[in-house]
Amino acid sequence: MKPIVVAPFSNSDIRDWPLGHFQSLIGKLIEARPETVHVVGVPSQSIRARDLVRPFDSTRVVNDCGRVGWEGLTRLVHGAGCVIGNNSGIAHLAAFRGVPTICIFGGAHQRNEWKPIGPNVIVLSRALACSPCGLHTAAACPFGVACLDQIDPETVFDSVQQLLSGFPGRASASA
Amino acid sequence: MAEILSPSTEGPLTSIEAYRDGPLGPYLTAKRLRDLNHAPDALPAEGSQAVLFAPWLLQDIADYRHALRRWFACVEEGGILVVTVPHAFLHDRRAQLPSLLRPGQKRLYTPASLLAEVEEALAPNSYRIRWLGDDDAGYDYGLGRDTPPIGRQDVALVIERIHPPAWSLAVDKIPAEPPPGPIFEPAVTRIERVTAQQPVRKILLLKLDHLGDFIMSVPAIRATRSHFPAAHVTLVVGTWNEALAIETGLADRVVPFDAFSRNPVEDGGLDMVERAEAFAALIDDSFDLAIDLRTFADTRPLLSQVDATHRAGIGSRAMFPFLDIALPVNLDAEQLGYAAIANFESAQFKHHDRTWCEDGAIRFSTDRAPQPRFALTWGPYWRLEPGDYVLRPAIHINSAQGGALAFDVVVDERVCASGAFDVWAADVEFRVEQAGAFEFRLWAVDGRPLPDFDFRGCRLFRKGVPGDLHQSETQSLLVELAAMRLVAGEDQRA
Repeated sequence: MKPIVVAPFSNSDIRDWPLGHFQSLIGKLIEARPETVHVVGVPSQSIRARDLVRPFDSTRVVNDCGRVGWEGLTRLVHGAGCVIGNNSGIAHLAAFRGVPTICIFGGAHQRNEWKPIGPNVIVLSRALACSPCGLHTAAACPFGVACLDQIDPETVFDSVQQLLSGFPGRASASA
Repeated sequence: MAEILSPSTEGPLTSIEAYRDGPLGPYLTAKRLRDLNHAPDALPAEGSQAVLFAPWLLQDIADYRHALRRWFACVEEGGILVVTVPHAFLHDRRAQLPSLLRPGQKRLYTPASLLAEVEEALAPNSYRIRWLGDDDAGYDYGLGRDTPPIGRQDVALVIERIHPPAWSLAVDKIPAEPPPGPIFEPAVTRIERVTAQQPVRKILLLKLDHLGDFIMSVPAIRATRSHFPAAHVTLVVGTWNEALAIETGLADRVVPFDAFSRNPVEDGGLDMVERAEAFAALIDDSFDLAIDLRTFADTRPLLSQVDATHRAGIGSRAMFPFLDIALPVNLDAEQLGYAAIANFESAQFKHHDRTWCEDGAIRFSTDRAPQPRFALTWGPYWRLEPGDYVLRPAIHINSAQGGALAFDVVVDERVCASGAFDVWAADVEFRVEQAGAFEFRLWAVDGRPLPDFDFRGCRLFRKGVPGDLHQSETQSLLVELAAMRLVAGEDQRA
């Protein structure tokens, strides 16, 4: 069974979906689905990755953050049933390689310009008047990065289910 | 807990007595000490133990996070959890599973990997590491790898439970204010699914301008054929280009239609509204893809009437919202001979302390400051090469006050342009003879009141620059863009 890969970090925290939301999503995934979840990232993101995986059964949620090199990471991504990430390199890699990809896209950038492209991608974003802001850090956002905070884990979970079901789907919107 | 705490090994290697003379000895002396080696399934009550000793258990437990968390929960504040595991380099003497001595072992350990599991399992600042190391007391390094090892062969870890501080490591992202709502869309999460495109079977190409224009479009039409080899291509051209279009053999069907007169200078222009109606009556079929290959925008209204799944054209979707595939080429250089080379925000300018910064602007108000007699803003000291330039300042002036705002453009202290704004800030043209640092300054005007103003920066254009794209290249780029959007690449088919 192909694992689910979660890439919760980018190079800028204004592009990162809240870690608590990722944690809720992972909880829903391992409760509802049989796949193993692998959390990936670079060594500098390891401390946050440990916070993310802490509540979960270590046989179901594997912490690969900082533990696999580029070759291992690409192998993991290519072999994944689904990759879930922010507007970051791993989401682009997965989408480009045709791996089913969920991209939780923040409002700092124009999604039409920067979203991952590929044959099987779902991009989730919020329509806020302040987007795109072009800010580089979450601390600079006066709205608590509402563009990502307001994307709830349940909605992302439904999208993962849709993507993994193989149903082609259509562009839509939900609360 | 029975499953995760199943004992895996017994004997002298895991006896608590074997550790008393080593580095763990000082930690194994408390009266309320529970040795899990004897009864691993019977965990004591939470917070009840001064010492909990877990020798050689963790390596056989699949869910190490759960095990460490449960063991640690049994320890009182100030108490310790002592964990030992077989050392990969001393016991197993291997770098990867399986362990030859203990085939059921789930993981191999070094001090680093044991510590990593603890950091994953336990909340930060709920514990402190008091001892971590290799316990090799009496280890015989002279034995061969095939001989069972002799002596201690552990990674050992001592963790003290502490009272957690009131603060956490989380970075609070408390909003200073509620976010602005959506303007044009409902307040929902957009869910956009991109899937493999349906094959493009019918294409409409519009190439409605004149002979030279048609010839310059041949590479783009050929590229359309190449990218969509199975598609039926209808090409609409001016009547003057019909024979040539047929001769190229690039289209399955050529439809003559005059959106313009053959010679607009001699024959005058045609009514584009009337032409659009005639075009709609002529082209009433539906297409998978319709491309307008004219770079100028005047034929885009015709494209807007085509019944097509994808409509592609040059220009932005801000200008032409009906375009599904838009190539927003900046045609200023091609058509007007100048191009934007820099945008300067107000933050890139210095300003006098009688002005202030607010909402991305440098501001001056007669209510807040006396009229100064010196430069109010200056900067950004950006190197310019010799040439002709246009500066477009973003300044809002309160013209009702009837004052004036002086400006000058300086390059290495040579004034290239100067003047005054009173109602609005017009474009400023200037020439740079010698390369140097460019500076735009605002001043008060002698003898006239200084009006309130907001300065938000400026945009700089260079004049006399050659166009970067040939007409032929622009059209080919549009076709390439359509192919990128509608034809899956090799990587995406994998």
